[in-house]
Amino acid sequence: MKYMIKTVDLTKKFGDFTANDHIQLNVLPCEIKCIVGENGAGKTTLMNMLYGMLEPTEGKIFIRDEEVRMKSPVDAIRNGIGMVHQHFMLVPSLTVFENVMLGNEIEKYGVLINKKSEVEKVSALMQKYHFDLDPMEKVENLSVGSRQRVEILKMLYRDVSILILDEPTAVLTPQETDELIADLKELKNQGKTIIIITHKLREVMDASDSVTVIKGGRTVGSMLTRDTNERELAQLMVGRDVVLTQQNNHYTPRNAEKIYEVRNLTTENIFGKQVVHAVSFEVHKGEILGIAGVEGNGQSELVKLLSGLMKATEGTVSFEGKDITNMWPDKIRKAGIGIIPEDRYAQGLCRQMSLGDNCIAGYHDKPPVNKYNLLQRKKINLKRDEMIHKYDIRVGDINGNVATLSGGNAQKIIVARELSEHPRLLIACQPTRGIDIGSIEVIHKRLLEYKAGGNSIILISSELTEIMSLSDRVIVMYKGQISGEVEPQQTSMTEVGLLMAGIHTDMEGQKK
Amino acid sequence: MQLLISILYDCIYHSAPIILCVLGGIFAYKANVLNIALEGMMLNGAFISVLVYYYTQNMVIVLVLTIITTVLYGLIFSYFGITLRGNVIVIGLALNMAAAAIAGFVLVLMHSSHIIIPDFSVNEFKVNIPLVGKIPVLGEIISGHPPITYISFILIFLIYILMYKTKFGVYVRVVGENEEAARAVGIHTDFYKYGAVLIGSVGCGLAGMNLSLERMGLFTNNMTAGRGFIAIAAIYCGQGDPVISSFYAILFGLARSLSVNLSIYAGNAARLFDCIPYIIMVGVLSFASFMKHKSVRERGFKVNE
Amino acid sequence: MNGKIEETVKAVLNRIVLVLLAFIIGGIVIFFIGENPLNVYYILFKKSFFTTTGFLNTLHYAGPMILTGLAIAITFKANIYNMGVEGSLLSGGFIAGILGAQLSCLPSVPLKIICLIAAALLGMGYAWIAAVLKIKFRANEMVVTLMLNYALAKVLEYLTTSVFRDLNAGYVSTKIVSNQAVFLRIFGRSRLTVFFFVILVILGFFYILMKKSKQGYVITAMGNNFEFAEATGMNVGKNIMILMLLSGALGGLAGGGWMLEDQYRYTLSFSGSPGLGWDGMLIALLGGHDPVGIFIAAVFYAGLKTGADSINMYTNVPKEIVALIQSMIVLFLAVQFFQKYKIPLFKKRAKEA
Repeated sequence: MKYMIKTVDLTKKFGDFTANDHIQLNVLPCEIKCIVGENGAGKTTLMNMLYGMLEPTEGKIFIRDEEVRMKSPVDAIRNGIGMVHQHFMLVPSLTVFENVMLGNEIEKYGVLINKKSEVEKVSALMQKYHFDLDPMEKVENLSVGSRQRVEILKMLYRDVSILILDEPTAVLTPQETDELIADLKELKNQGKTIIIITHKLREVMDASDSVTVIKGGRTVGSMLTRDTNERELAQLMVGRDVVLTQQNNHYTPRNAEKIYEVRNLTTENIFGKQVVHAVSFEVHKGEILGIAGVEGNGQSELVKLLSGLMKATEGTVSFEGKDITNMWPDKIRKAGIGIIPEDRYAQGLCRQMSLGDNCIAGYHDKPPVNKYNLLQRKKINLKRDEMIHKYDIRVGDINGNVATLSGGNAQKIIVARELSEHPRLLIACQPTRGIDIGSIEVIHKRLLEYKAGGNSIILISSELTEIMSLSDRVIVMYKGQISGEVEPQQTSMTEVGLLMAGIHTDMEGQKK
Repeated sequence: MQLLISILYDCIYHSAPIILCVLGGIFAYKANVLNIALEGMMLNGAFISVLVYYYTQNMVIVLVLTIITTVLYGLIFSYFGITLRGNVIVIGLALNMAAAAIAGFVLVLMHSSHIIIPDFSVNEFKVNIPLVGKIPVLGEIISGHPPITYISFILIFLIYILMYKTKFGVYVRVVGENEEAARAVGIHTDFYKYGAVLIGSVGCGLAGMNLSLERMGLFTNNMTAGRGFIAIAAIYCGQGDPVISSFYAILFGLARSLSVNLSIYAGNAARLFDCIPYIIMVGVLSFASFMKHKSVRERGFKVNE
Repeated sequence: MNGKIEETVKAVLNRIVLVLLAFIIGGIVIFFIGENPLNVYYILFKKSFFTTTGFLNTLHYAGPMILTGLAIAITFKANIYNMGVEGSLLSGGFIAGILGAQLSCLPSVPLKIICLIAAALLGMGYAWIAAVLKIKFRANEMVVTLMLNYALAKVLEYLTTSVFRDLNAGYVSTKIVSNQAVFLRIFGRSRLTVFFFVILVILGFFYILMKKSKQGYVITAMGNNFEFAEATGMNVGKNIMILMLLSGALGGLAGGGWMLEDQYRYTLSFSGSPGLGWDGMLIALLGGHDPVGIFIAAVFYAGLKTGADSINMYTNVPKEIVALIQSMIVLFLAVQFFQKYKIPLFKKRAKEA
């Protein structure tokens, strides 16, 4: 057997849309292979086919030189393939051992679950692979890194020889990423074959033995990692040089006036745990303040607080001298603050409305689109056409609803809409998450343009490169608190990474 | 004293059908399939059991046909709501309408507005437990109920085990909490959703049978009078936990029992007492919902919580 | 423009097909009890649609259901499941009946206005209870309104049989309303009254509200999901109250109007069976929560209902067959949306890959 996994002309179509087009993939046994491509290139579709969650439209999959047809994850597992998804497939209210054993429960008397047996087995497994977890702990109480380990454990229990991980480091700090890579190399030494899907090129260079590049649903390159570099991979991924072209070159002087001030902001989740604790910061006029941090450290809750979707238990927020603590979203907008919400489909757009109607959401109250409480259709269409032109929004049916738009175009509508009302401050939460390079560029360009006009932005993102290249100042969140503040020009990624993990260093570089 | 005994006895009497609906319905709740058709399924159970007994006098056939027809309702609900992914609230309403329509249809064909089992005494199905029945006070309360009433209370314990200690229960909960996770390990989510709904059907069928045949030996259309919805309220208040939801069901039974027993003192206003149990349930639901949301700092409503 | 027309055409076709399907199944049942389905259906439709008086009567019966249909639509479309329209209708009808009988000293127009306003207010009050419980306590409005319906029915039953009972009537009812309160019939033999035109005006008002106004925009936004509405600054809590109150007012008006143009006294079968509020639910669903659709659905449905009485008189088929067909229509309605959106859903998933 030469290859562990081999795909020949693997194709997947959804209607007229081709997500994967004649993909050729070759994976050697006991190697770590990275599959790279930008968002929307088709990597997840490919992996879903390898894991039996989707069936190919055309083409074949060979595992250990035998052709396989997989109709469900059960088939994949039977072929020795396990997958760790980007969005964890765990049940929060169940314990670690219950989640690991899900689907493989051990029973006694034919119906009841044999708890003792299950715990024993899971503990033995954890020892074998050196995973340090408490089997009886409920998953809802675990950190993100630990949850990922439970996912991996789930697959290891099923004795898989091939492990696929989909964007595993999206939710990890740089240090946790290093730990994960070490774990994966150990698994490789124990005989496993590993496939990692990612768009982070540095990890590709650090972790893998070989890499395959996917662009527009096709394989555009396949080589040994040691024979290539980040720049070449980036070129293959997007068809041109380098990923982020927009840079903030216009730094705001430190003594510019303060326009937005947050003092001691605190709130709790339903269990009474403080998810945002005593957060304080300021934003100056004409400044982009970046808020960095691994997802899940309180950023979502902070954004909800600042945009009026969550109530603070302590603390104040003021804008241009006025107290706006705990204001509702409509009042916040009226005060001159624009909001790009975290979840573009759930919070930013209405699937049942047309493009035009979405262009005025949040501002449908104001003239000229609203006169005597009646919506003025002509004015709405005017606004919509303006936005389409300015932001290069690609749309099939101009009167259709927004469900058919791609992620990038959908996000552009939201950005266009918020900026068109000329707010003095923009809160932008994950503005370019999961969208194509072209749209990212347009959005970054407009954001910098907006800042150059004397306005301010609070930028929250888990994409560190985005924050570092756009912000004037960066504050880092860890476990609901601010762990530090840095200036992007003077700080290395490693230092920021440490702050993201809650480790403060003093001037000599000693860990506190 | 006699009044107290009467109240407690009636409490058990009135709670039983609700408990059965609740115990069946919590699975659909946990599986995240909102089943409002409990009312219609209970009505069907009540109708079929009396109808079949009227013609056959055979309890086995009654039981089998009642369960089969109610499960049929469940299958229609599941097919349209789960496999075809229709709007489950609308489907539930449709089935409630259908149950009443079918019952009404047959009643007209029988040229009567109700079905009465001839020579039926209220004591027909009552079970007098030997020994226990002789204990003063307690005996009078506990003994002398029809069999399904006893089954309903025993089931609280059994359903608890089913829900939390067996693979089926775990899977139903997993499907409701994180459907993708279930599918990723190869659990057939639709199968468990169907199962959850069908257990509900069985529960409602038995509840209906207890309501009409066992206790009264008669059927009039719409005699369930909203008990299915009371069960839904109890399930919501208890958040699908077998023991807690059953507690709320018993609470309703108590309210109903109080209203029946105390109305003798009220004369003409007796009718007013009938609405008390419903108002109490609204109050309880409001209280339970309030407690659930007390510590939520997130603003905004969620659809159909 | 093309996209919207295509959608509407698809929606209408969908409904025609499923209505036919329901009738076919009903036909099978009729066949099994020994009657000729085509004959039965002919009788069902003949009088209600194909004679002038019959058609006007159909419009008359459609009237209150247009209002209850609207009442349901403005809440259901916004993801609020208000089942209390029946209760609003009963309270509205009751108060109109009482006032109509007691205030016999007043002249015609003011008396009617007072009765209708009282009806709307009481209907609103009833809906207000459920709205407050939802907003302050997050109590599920569907369960609350379902139970309050039963409670209210009992209370009205009590009032009708004791305090307000008309002892001169042969059956349980309140006093008959005075002549000034009655809406007069306008076309001779048919039962159609002036109130029908009031209903049309209200329908027109709500057409503008739902399709062209800011409130209609908010309804669509809430109908998508509450999170979107909240995040873009629409105060969902406030709007739940507004919509519930509007819904209650419509229900109350429907009841009040019905009292003054048809029933003239409150009885235990005031709302018919299953109840004008429930009829409104079917109409709202069949009409796609759209004012024009509701009008058409109401007329169609009213024709079915009056036709049911004809069936009762001229054939051996129980009129419940119509109720059975209605429940099947509702059942099939529940799934038709799936067929419409199947493909775009896939396209979106693919783009995210």
